[in-house]
Amino acid sequence: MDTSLILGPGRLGDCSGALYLERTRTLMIADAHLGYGWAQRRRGQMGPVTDGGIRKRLEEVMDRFRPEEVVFLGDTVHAPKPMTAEREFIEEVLNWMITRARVSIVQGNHDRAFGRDFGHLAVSVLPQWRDGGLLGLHGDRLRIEVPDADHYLLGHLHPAVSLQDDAGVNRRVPAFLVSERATVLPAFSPFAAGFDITRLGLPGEVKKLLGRHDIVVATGRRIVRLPARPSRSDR
Amino acid sequence: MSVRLRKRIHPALEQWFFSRFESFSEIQSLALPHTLSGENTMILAPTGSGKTLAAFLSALSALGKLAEKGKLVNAAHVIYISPLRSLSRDIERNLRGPLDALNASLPDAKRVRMDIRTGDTSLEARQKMSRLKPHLLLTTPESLSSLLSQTQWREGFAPLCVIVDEIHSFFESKRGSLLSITLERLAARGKSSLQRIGLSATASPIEAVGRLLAGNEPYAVAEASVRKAHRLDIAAIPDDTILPAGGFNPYRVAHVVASEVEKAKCSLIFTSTRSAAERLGLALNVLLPDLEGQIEVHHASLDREKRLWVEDQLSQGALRAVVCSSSLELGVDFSGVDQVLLIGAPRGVSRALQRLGRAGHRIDGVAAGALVPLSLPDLLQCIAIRAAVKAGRLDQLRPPKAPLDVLAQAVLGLAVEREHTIDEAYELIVRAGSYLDLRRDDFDCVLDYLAGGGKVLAGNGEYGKISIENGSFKVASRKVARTYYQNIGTISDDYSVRVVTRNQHRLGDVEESFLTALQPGEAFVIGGKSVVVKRFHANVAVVESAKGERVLTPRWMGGKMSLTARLAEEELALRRSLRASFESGGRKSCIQMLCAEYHVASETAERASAYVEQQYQAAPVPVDSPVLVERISERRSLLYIFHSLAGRGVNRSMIWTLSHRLGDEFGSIAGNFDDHSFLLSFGAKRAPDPERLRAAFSPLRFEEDLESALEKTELLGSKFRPICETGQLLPRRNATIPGAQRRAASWSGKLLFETFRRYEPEHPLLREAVREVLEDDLDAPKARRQAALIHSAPWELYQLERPSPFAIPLFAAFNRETLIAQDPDKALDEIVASLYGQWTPA
Repeated sequence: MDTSLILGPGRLGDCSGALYLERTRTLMIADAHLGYGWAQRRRGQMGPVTDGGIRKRLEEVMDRFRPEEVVFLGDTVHAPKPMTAEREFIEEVLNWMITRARVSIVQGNHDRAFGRDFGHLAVSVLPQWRDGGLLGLHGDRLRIEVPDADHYLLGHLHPAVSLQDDAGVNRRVPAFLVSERATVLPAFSPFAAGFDITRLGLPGEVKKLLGRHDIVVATGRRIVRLPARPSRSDR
Repeated sequence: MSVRLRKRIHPALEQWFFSRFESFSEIQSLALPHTLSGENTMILAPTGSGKTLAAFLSALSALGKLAEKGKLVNAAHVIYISPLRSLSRDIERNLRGPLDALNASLPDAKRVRMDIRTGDTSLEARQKMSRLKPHLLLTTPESLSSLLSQTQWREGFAPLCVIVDEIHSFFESKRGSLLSITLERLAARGKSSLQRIGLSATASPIEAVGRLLAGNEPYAVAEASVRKAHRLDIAAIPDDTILPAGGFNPYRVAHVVASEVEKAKCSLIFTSTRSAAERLGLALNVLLPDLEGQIEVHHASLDREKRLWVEDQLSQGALRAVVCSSSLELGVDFSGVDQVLLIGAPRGVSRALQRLGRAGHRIDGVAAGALVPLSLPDLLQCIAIRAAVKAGRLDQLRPPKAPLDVLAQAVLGLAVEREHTIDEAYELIVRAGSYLDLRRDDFDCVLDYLAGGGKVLAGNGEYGKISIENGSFKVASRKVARTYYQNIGTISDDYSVRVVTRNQHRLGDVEESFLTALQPGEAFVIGGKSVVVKRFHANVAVVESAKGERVLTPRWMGGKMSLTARLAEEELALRRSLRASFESGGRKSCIQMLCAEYHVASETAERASAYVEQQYQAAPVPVDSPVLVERISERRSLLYIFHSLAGRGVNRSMIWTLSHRLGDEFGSIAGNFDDHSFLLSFGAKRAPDPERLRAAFSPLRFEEDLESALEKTELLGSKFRPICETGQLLPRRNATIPGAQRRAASWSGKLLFETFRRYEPEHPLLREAVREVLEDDLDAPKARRQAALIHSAPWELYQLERPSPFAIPLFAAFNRETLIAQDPDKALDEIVASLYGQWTPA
């Protein structure tokens, strides 16, 4: 079993949930939700303020691929108007990445204000990312518009799947959804539990875009394509 | 004695009372000497015995005397606390008479005001009340807790007496813990000492309940000697009806219930869940078309107006039957109810007694009741519980010990009220009955959490709920205060959706998860009506009447209570007798024993004995020693089923501790449990042999291992969210935010738990989760004793192809729990590897 798996031509899935695009040597990361703990504090939720290990995850995946470019595919930060400690953490992470690669941020629903809060950093802030027919979007606005492309790269959904073994033990694991027309990335954030898409189904517009797809599970240590399941009627 | 007692009551009240009653009832004669002397008093008597007046005659007299001297101020002097809003309403109605009589004797300007304040009180009424305070306030613990913090009520209390009704109902839950602190806060507002009166029908043990009421202060006990006579039968099931091997579906016995309803004037029918109430209500309406409009359903998820209406109708005797969950367990007379039916044996003796007490409230009335068994195992439980009820063998209640989440909420409440010194707050809290043994460092830990502390946070405790300075603390901002009010209380709800008709008529609430799982066109029943969803958005579902027969019952989340220790003892005794009888003289012997010793009707005895005979075709009737163990091979797994009549809490402890101890050796293990048994499921290739299993039950370090095992489970994670809500760490779930946003808006309970565990393991709410699970849910000490028993007793090990009849209920239950004994990453590797049919070595 491997730590990375070919998902499509020039597209390599990583066990951390990141996607590597060989032609442009781009590492794509969706739904990092940096600053989560601090942001929740600001909302009055007194949970722990810790990075949850995401800094380490990012370092490891950067080391594995040494990309030329890093693209955050939406929801890079969890909330606008960060408090001091939150801002410091996010800037530190991004600045570290900037010394190693070009960094682009595609905006999502949680970080619409990224330009205002972090525009002073040396990153490009984009509504979408393109390489020819390959299009990277966050995926929160598909109901409004679907730009033309040969293959879509999406985040936002936090896909996951529940697996069961012989004793009957269940675990929920993040997963890529992979088809000819699209790849949906799992959430990179350690604070995203993920939604079991085999139980909860997919939003209509994503289902249409994706079509018949494979589920590729990324456990953090391994990445595995699941054997095909019979399709379920959506609820 | 009676004459002197009479004279101590205010003359207007004395006149009112004796124009209606000939003399004081037994409990009034016992209690009044204490209450009239201003002593703290516990009043124990069955419902309908006059104990409410035993408390209020003295409270109203005191108010009357104050009024005459012109000493009534614009504040609450007497506070009545009940667990239910409906009870407050009923009490208000009942107090109108004596209060009017009292006020008639007073000049206009000095009259005594009474009012109700609960979650149901309208905004308008609240505003009015904040200007003109009632002298007699009828309220709930949560509303009182809120009022004590409010600015407008800062001068709103001059308390001399507090009356807590149905006090046993608070006792076993965290509601009681919060109440005990609230009572101390109330006492602190008064210039003189506060008189505390507690009312209860079934409090056991009395000392513990008394402590909840009065902390360390002394109190008198007035206990009625007259026990209400209970006629409790087990309903006859007709020969052609098959009782199933397990489960709780009331449909099978609905016709039995229907014939009981026809025999009585008014039946109050208790089921164990809201779903069951709906199902049975529907079935009864179908079976008894002549009684259309006279059969209603009542439970907490129905619209309030509907509930009030049903309660009114019941009081007037205008209905033939009401099917309810625990919603009608507490309260005043429904004097028209002449029969109580218990569908399925309740989980405890005290609960059964409480429910039976709802019938025939005349002081000399005999409460008539019947148990309707839902299944064969339930039949045995009915026989056992009936014996306990008749002998008056009550459950011993166990309160939670100094829960830290409630403490956090209460401390925040103090902070919102005004600035306090830390020492002053601590001294108040440790006067509260539930917190007498609270350690100072635990208190400090909670303060630290509320102040936003935590080692990982950079910057000194930003965004805390309170600010601490120079040994005092106060609330951090008005915003925090507002959030505090929205999150008072100890009960957690799942996301619920309001169900309304096209005409905006509210029917009730159902859980969102139920609605999203419905297929288009699928109908469900609520409040006895069959409806289908037309539109569903955010937290409102618009429905219209459904035609056709296929109707689903919504499932509402409710906690599952463990079988009480008392009931487990009773069942064990029954099983021992059945086993001895069958092994000596077969079925006939069982029938004889049941009739002679348990006094059941012969047809009940026959059914129970046939069940025993069925069991013996596979294995003996399980008792405590020897331990019956069934081993069953199932496709790719191997199951061990242990019969253990110890309650679900203990049995759950078993599966956790065992899987932790068996550890990596045997791969991952799944388990399941109920009140009577537990099972462990292993991959067939890796299952342990019986001797290895036996060793794993050793009582040595059992509780420590249980605690370690807990760390790996989902149980703590799933418990954590409600604790965080009570402890004001997270807001309570708010169903008005649309789904996708809502999920991102708040921490996932399990993730929050895991993150705390890794980075802040000493956090008070985390420790509370562990305490709650170990002490309240799992009963760790008892679990250790059960493990010792299983470890040392002989085993009857049966290799079977199918589970025995007594094991079927557990076997058929679908919710197997994950027991990951090994490193989670390794476990995951194995799961993934097994998808390819190969095992990776551990």
